[in-house]
Amino acid sequence: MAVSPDDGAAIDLKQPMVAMLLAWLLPGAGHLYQGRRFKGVLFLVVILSVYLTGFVLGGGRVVYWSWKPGEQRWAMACQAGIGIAALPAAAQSMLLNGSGKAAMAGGFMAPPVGLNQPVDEGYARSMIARMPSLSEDDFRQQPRMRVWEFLRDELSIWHHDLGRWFEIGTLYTMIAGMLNMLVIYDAGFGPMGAAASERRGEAEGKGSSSGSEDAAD
Amino acid sequence: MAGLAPMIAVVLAASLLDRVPGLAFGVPLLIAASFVFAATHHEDPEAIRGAMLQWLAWLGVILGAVLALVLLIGIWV
Repeated sequence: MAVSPDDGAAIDLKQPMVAMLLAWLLPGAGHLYQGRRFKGVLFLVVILSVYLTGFVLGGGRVVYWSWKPGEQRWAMACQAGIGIAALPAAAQSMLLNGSGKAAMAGGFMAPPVGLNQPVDEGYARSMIARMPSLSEDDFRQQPRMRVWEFLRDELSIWHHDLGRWFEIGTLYTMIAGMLNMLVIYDAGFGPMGAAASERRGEAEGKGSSSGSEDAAD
Repeated sequence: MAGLAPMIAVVLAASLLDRVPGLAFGVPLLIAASFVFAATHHEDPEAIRGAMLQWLAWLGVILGAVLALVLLIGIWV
């Protein structure tokens, strides 16, 4: 139970941990679960709009996981706050860097292929198909193996093709993720103003009670 | 004289947009952040709307001051 800072009404937070998990998975879902419809819809629309706008501005390339030394994607620490909308990036990273050496769905949310990184032949061909600046000459083909070695750096190509849109898209998706962290807190503990007013109320209560004790003395 | 103020504001905004490419992309972020800040501090829809405008003004003033400082440093350095 939390208290509204506006009218002092009680807010039923139901199962706060469940609400927080839902709020992380989908912005506003935790509030909808608690029956706080206005805020749920507001968070859903505002945060997903910011996230999707950034995703589109960044050419669909700005959300990816990469923890390889020297190529860490720190922005993902913020983007992960958006929940399910960023989760495919984790799966794609594991697939591309795993034994299969190929991401699914045409590289949707897949990390960029680095210099000299081996990739599956089929994935190399899909890269050539979706990036006009690439050709088979950009790969070293291993004889009798289905693994090709990339001779360029895909991230540099993205930066070249997208220019400042890559940064703007990254900023939008990061901010969407960080804003959702506030929403997760609100789903678990109620409005932040309520916590402050409760503390204030407690302090005033203590002050007045000690004052009355003084008066009694 | 009072009629000049909106014109000056428009000219200033236009020159700012010209000087800082992509500045306009910050406006939706400011609005979104104001909405979320307001909604995480209040429960009543009316209170959220009012607080959103207050947050927007605060964020606009603070970030505007930072931008002005950066621009001034850019001019001097």
